[in-house]
This record gives sequence, structure tokens and C-alpha cells, in this order.
Amino acid sequence: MTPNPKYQKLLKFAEWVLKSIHSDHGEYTHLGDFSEVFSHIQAERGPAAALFWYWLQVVRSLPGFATNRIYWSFIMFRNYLIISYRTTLKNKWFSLLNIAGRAVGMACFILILMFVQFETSFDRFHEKSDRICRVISRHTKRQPDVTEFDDNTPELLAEALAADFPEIKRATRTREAFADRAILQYQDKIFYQKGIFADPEFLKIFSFPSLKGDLEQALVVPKSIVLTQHVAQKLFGSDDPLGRIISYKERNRQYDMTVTGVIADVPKNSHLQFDYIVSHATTVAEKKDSYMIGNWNVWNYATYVELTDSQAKSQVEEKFPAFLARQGQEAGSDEFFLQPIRDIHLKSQIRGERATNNQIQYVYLFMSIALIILLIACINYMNLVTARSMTRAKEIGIRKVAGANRRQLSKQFLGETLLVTAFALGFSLLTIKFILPYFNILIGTDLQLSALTQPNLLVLIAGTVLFVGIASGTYPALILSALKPVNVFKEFSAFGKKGAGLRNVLVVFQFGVSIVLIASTLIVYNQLNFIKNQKLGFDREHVVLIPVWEKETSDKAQAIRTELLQHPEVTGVSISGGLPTNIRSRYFGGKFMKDNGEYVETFVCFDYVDYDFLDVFKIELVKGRNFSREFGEDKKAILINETLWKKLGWADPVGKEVDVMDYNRVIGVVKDFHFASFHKEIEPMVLAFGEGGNIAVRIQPGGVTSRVELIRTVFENNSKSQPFDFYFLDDSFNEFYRKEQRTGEIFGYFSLLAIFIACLGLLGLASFTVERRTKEIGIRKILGAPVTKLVGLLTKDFVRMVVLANLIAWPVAYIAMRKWLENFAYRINITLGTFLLAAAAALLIAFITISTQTLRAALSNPVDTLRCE
Amino acid sequence: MKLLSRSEELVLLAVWKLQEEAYCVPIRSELMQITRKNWSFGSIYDPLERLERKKLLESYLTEPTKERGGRSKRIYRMTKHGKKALMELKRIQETLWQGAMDLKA
Repeated sequence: MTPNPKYQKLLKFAEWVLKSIHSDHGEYTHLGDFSEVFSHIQAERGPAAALFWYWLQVVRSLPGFATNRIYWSFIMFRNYLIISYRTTLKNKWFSLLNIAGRAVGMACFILILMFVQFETSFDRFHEKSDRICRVISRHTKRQPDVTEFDDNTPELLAEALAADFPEIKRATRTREAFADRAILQYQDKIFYQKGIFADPEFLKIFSFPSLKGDLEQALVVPKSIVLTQHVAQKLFGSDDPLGRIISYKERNRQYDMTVTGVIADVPKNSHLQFDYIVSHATTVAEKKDSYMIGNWNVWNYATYVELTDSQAKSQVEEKFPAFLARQGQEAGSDEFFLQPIRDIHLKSQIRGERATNNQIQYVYLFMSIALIILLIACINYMNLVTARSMTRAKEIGIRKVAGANRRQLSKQFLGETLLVTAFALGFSLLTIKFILPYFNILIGTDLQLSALTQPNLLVLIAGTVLFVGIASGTYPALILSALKPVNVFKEFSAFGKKGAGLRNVLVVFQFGVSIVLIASTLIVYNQLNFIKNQKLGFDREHVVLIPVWEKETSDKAQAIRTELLQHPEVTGVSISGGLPTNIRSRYFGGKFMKDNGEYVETFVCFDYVDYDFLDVFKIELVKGRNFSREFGEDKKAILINETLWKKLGWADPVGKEVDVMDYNRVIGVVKDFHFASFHKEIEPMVLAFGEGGNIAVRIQPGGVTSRVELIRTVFENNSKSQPFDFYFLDDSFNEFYRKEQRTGEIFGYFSLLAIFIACLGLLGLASFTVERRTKEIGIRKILGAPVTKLVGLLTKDFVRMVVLANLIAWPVAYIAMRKWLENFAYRINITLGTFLLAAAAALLIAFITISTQTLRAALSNPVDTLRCE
Repeated sequence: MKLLSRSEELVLLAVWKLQEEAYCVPIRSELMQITRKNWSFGSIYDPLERLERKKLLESYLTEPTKERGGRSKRIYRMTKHGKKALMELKRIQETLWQGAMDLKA
């Protein structure tokens, strides 16, 4: 009789279940009995009944099996717990090193996880975030030497796109307010806020939750404004803001706005950051702004589109050239592409990005450094546990004699590691709670502890604990469980030597990483110092800047200047559009005639300055003269910088005829100064005569607070409608290098952590070595060895490892940092000194760490160490 | 010596009765037939194991057979002590029955 193969399979499976749940794996007779009865029943009542019977037996045997299993595993688990607890307490010092190292490593890792989670969550809160794209553009014809993209588009683009492309469901245009911050006033409450202008589609595409008002209609009428919650709260308190009129002032525009809605505050993880939205209709109705409406030549709006389908991006991009031709644009003059909004924060490299972006490379870098630190912490544990396997040897021996097999022992030690890791997790969470505010300041984020309860982070943290437990526990578990009971009881001295080779390799690795981090930190700081001490070509200290936000102040600027100059503390006042740290407007239509009569068109950086600009910022003039109040015709004159002079190759630039905007004559050349960051080379620049939105006040050094107070009084005497607001030129300069500064600081902390954890491990190993050699040291002392020699003897091996680590770390750090420095147009050379310094630091720290142990041993009285035998 | 439990007694008796065929399956079917009750495997294994521990039974393994999926039988055999215990039980029963009224009467 050949049984049905399906039955056969089920039968086999049932047998397998029985076999695996029975305590006596080797006993096959029971199964024999079962299959005998099975075949009886099969013969009598058919295979189905027999199989049913067999499975019934299996099911009935399960409860007994389960209770048995749980009972015994509980007993064993309790035993393991007690033993873990006792060994932890018995070696307090060792346990402390262990848990501390791991807690710090994990805290660091979890913090970075939170940071990464935050960085990758940008703009994902919009319901349609997978379908929203930003239009980015490049002006191939007009700006041939600019290869970067930016997000400027003409105002009419949004409407045209929505009408022309079936794949585009909606499109919106938005621009920032002209002034960085406009003034919002309600009765006596007056605040500076940062805002945007947008059309009604904006709130349909993006998911900014409405709190009050009908968002469909909120941005339709001119002079309507939607506030975010905190602004509404500040202006109106608990009153209903809807329908109230607030006064809005920005440069020379002033409106009475009706509040038509309130939305929730913009989350930090949004690349669009604003406090209020003014309806686009306001701009359309404003005569002064009519030049940018419906004009293909003015590009100052950002356009966002909502696609019907997330896959449609490339289809739309392919049709852009044809679309531009239909709009009457010359072929090849402009290029448009779509950029998914989810990519903006980490992957966008466009010029003039509105929000501070991060780079995905930085995120990866942090992630890998955090992982390495975690690894260093794991290595500590591996080293300490295997080095001290002697302390557990007796227990293992007894367990083995009592019948524990290797699997059970491995499980025990792995479980113990997991337990300690979970314990360390508790400590690390506590640590995070305390350092989170400082971390937020350091990285410039706003992370909350509550973010940890997000399911994906919870899973990651559980994964971390498992990873750390298994990574650090597997090797010791294998080593410990492999101990042979006979050897354990026979001779102790062999222990701890086991795996010494691997231990040394791991220590070298730990220190290698630490040295790489220290060297990198030093190089980052050197570069930052280099930048800060560079001759900029202007004096950035002792200059107070007052931005001009609105009309009254702008009208009174001259009066403020005159009044300020009456005080001896003020040495100069300039009212200019450009600042030496911020000349970023680019003009592409400048025409210059070379000495050989040939006309050239070249792009220049361009800004407006007044008579006092050069004096206030102490910029040197190398040829010609400055703008002067005595010469009436200066209104059409420009100054150029040395770079432009060299580029044009003029023998004598003074008096040359040019055509830049409305300006026609060069009157002088200024010495090159760094008006952009050191990432870039100095570009050709034109300073034209004109006044602008900044009042720059040079003050005498000393007594900064009183001088700022003086400026405030003068300012407030003159301008009533703009609250006093100031900053130092120095700060705006530092802003350029904030990312580098931050990277430097983070590297600093990371290297501190790495070396700290590595030292914990070294400390443990050193104390273990010393412990093992107490008798040897005692005897050496009796025989007359001096303390210095003993310390040397004990320290030698460790120092050798740190030296070896240096040799490996140097090339790694060198290659990595050379890559980083390539970001700067002006940079330092990496010198050997940096590496020597890093090496010396690592050696010194390692030496001090080890000395705490070796000195104690070397100074101890040999009588104490030797008398027990 | 402590008296055997009823299931032990029955199993022991069945082993004696079955002689060379005394392994779990026939013991179980014998008992099921006579008692007209369902006996699980566990309720046979358990007394068998206990009896063996008390040295009333001993066991050996046979050659594997095909019917049993290539597994051997564990055949039980009564020991001297087993025999004595069984005889003792029989004596107790018979003594008790002596002089008792006939149930069928």
C-alpha cells in the first residue's frame, strides 16, 4: 500500500514535532509505538482517520510539554540572574567600566539615530509629499558661467504649467517678503516676523493644518493674511483673530491686512519656514510690484507643482523645452527641472536655498562615526570579559560537570550580555535626557525626548540593544563555553592568555579610530582658525549693523547718521545696500571695453554703497578715488575690485567708460576683499553709488553695551515705527562657517567620546594585567627593581599598541581630511605637526590611564602581595 | 513495601500476561479491551516507567521492524520483585474476597 504523499508529509511533520518536544531526543521507541497504532488505524479506518488520531496525540502532548519547559527554564533563568547579579557586584569596578562604556556609546548612537530620523523626515509630513516637486531653473544663455541651479522662476510660470500639463494637478507660486522680517502690529503689540507671499493653491498643495478660518478662501482677496499659531497667540492672546485688521510694514510698503485664517506652526522639519502667509493678490494689486507680475523676465518666485502621479516627473521634464517654445521663449535659453520636495533638505545643491540645508554626506558621516563609537564600546566588553575569563572559569567548570552543554552556556553568557546591555540602555536614556538640550544647540535641531516613542525609533533602539548584545557577547560566549573543565581545575595560569592576540588587534583598532578623530578635529579647527585670522581686506570688528525694514527708518537714515556722528564713540556711519560679507547679487549684462577696443560682456557681483562705505569697513583703495560728496557727478560712477581689473586687463582703469546697469564710469579700484566665504575664490565685483537697507556704525573699541545703548537711543529718537534691531558684522561673518564650526565641534565631542571609551577599556585591561602580575612585581621589588622600571615594564606593551595604532591612523586621517579641505578655495596644508600632536595626545592619555593601575602596583609593599603563599 | 497503584497493578499484570509481546501497543489494546475504557499512551508509559524504576520491570530493545517505521520495540519483562509484588497483590485480593458475599447473589 502506498500512502498518499500529502498524508505522508503531514505524518512526517507530526513525528518531527513529537520528536523535538520530547525531552529524550534519542528515544525512538515511543515514536515506534505511535506509528504502529497509526498503521492499525489506517488499515481499519483509512489514512485520514489515522492521521487525525496521530495529530490528536501531538496536540494533547503539547500542554504538558509547555508547562515543563516553562518551569525548568524559569528555574535556570533565576539561577542565571542570581549569578549575573553576584558577578556584577563582585567586580564592581569592572562592571562599572563595562556599563559606563556601553551606556555612553549607546547614548551617542541613539542621539545620532534621533538626529538622522529628524534629518530624513524633512517635508514628509505633507500628505502628498511624494508628488510635490519644486521647479528649479538654470539660465544657460544668460548666465553661461553659472552651472548651478536655483529655484527662481517667473511669476506666471505656475499658472502656465497648471494649464499646459495634464500631469500637473496644481501649481503654486510663492515668494519671500522683501524684507527678511516684516513688522506686524496690532494695537500696541508690534513684532518682527518672517513671512511669505503665496496664492490660494499653496494651502491646497501643502498640508499645513488649519486651526481657524476657511483655508480655501483665505488667500484669495488682496490684503489678507494667514497667521501661524504662535504669531496669532502673540498678537491676539486668547481672542479670536479672524477678521481682525493688523498693520503690516515692509520696506516702503504698508498695508492694513485682514486675518483670514490661522494655521498650525510650521514644523521644524519643513524646508519652507514662515510665520505668516500674505495673499498673492496683494502683490498683484500693488502698483509698485506690477513689474514682476506676468513678466517672463523677472524671476523671483518659487514654483511648486503637485503631480497627478509620483512617476510623472520625468514625463513633465521631457516636455519642458516644447512648453518653453510655446511660451515664446528662445530655445535653449532656460532649463527647467523638477525636484521632489522630499529631496530638498538633504540632496538639493541649488544656489540661494531658502532654508539651511544639510548634506546627506554629513548624515552618513555622523552615522558611521556613531557606529564606530558603538563598536569601540562593544570591543571593550569583549576584551574585558575574555581577559577576565579566569574569574568565571570555576563556575563554567562546575556547570559543565553538572551536565550543562556548550549551547546552554553560550546562551547563558549571551543572555547576560544582553541583560547588561539593557541595563546600560537605561543609563543611556537617562544620559540623553540630560544632554539633549546641549545636543540641540550643538547640532542646531529641536529634538524632543518624546521623539523616542516613535515606533520606528523604538524598533531601531531595540535593534541597537540586540546588536550591541550580540556583537559584544558572541565572542566571549564562544570562548567561555569552550573552556574544558579539566583544564579549569588543573591550572589557572593559562586563562586570560587565550585570545590575547585578538585583544591586541582590537585595542589597536580602538586607538586607531580615536587618533583619526583627534587628528581630524585638529585639522578642522586649524582650518577654521586659518579662516578667522585671514586678512579679509576689511575690518569686521567693532561694526554694528542696523537693518532698515520700513519706510520711515529709510527716510530718516540720514538724520540718524548725522546724529550718531555727533558722538565721539562713533567713528563712522555708512548707509549702504551691500555689506562686505554679503555682496551676492550677480549682474550679467555689464559691458566693458578693453584697451584694444574690444567689447567684452562679463558677469560681476554688484551692490550699492555710499560715500562712507570704504571708510567704515576700512577697505583700501589701490587706485583712483573714493565716492566723494564734493563731486556731484559721482551718481553715475563705480568702483571695481582688483580681480575685475585683472580680468579686463586695463592699463589704467580710472576714467574708463563702462555700461553696467545705469553706471558709466570707473573712478577707482579697491583692494580685493573676501565678500563671500572662503569656499569660493574672489569674483569680479562692482560697487556702484547708492544707498540701501543697512546702517553700518563703526564704534570705538570697548564698552560695547553702552555703545549699543547709545545707538538705540539715537535710533529710537528718529524712527518710531521700527523696533530697534541690530547685529554685529562679526556674527554675520561667522554665519558663513557655521556648518564647518559645527562639524568641528561635533568631531571634537566624538573624538573625546571615542578616546574616553577606549580608555575605559584600556583601564580594565591594565588593571587585569597588573592583577595577574602582582606576585611577579613583588619578587622583582624584593630583588631591587626601581619603581620606574616596574612601571615601564607594565606599560611597555600598551604603549607599543598605541604607537602601532598611530601608524595605521595617520594615512586614514590624511586622506579623509584632504578630501574635506577640498571644499575650501583657501585652505591650510596638512602638516606632520598635527599628526604628532594627535599621537602625543593619544599616548599621553593612554599613559595616564595605565599609570593609575601600574603605579599602584609598583608602589605596593611586596609583603602584602607575597605573604599569602 | 508500598502497595502499587491500580494502574500500575493493571499494567504489571498485562505485562505478565503478554509475556514476549509485552510492549506499549499490545498492553494498551489489551487494557482497552478488558476495561472498555480509553487508555492514552501516557497512561501506559507512566506506570511502565515507574515500575521499571521500582525494579519490578526490566526492559530491552528489539531489532527495528518495518511496521514501526524502522524503530525498535521496548519489550518489558517482569523481574523477581515484580513477580513477588504481583503475587502479594493477588493474595490481598483473594483474602479480602474470602468470606465476602457473592456479588451476583
